[in-house]
Amino acid sequence: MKPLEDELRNALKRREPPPGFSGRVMARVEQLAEDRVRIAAKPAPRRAPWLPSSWFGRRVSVSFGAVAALAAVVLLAIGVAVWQQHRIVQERREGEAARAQLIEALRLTSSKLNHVRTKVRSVTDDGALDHAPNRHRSSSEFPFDGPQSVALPAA
Amino acid sequence: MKDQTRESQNAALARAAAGDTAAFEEIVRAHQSMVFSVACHFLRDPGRAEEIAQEAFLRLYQNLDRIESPEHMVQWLRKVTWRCAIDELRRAGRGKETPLEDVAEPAAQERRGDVLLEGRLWKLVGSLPPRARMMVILRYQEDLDLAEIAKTMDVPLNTVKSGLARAVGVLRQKLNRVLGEVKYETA
Repeated sequence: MKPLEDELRNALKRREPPPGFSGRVMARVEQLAEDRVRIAAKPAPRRAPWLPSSWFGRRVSVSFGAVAALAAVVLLAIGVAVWQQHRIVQERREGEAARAQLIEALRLTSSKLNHVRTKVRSVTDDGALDHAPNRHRSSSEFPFDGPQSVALPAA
Repeated sequence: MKDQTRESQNAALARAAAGDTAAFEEIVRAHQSMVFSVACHFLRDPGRAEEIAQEAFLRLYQNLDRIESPEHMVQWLRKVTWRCAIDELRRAGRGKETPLEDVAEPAAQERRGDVLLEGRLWKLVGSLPPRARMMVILRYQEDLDLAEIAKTMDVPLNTVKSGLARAVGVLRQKLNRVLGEVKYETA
């Protein structure tokens, strides 16, 4: 009867990794080393020369690519703003033209109505309207007498 | 003899840090069973344990310049293995802490040979909650003292003391229950 601690030591004794373990580790290490060399050989992005190399005492490194991307974003934002402004002005102009057209149309209608009213009044004053023939409806114009003629289905 | 080993380890470390991959392979061979065993006992899956062990050595390679001595390297490797293993467990969604008392017991069988007992114990240890499991592994596989375990796992010494005592107590209780007799007395 061994103490539990000894049994635990037996159960948890070291095990060897599967064969070829160190080779697989070294393959990954070599891959890592190659990647490091590749990254080190890659030229650093060019700095934009007109930008300051420090900003409030802190060293900054801004590449051409970053500056170009920032400029593109700013230009895009300006373009969108200008286009929207242009659209608003154009809509306002169109609205004003439509309003002027409507006023003109109303003015013309008003003058026509005035003209007609003058005519009607002059005719009425002469009593000519009393002799105007009355127009009677013919039954052929209205084939049904009214809603009561429609037969409702039995409940 | 021990001094010679230490000297050669120091030399290998220095050469590896200078970029000598053969020296690094020497280091891998010297410590692979320790790293693999910690991961394997913890995860109970040799495939995943190998991945964790590879990851630990890759991290060592990337941090060779920060390693001060062979002893520091061994401690560093244990710590990284523990972190990688617990991360792996969390990724797999099995890192949920369960109370020690809820640890599953392996089914009782007729044979009671040493190998079988070891297998049962291994299963019981593997079903402990992650932190308790690693404490037991570091204590009984690596023969670390409590202070070293606390340092490796970044936990207070008292946590290790209580955690380990409790884990061993639960293991004893469960094993006795499985075996059907009081075989392991409380120390």
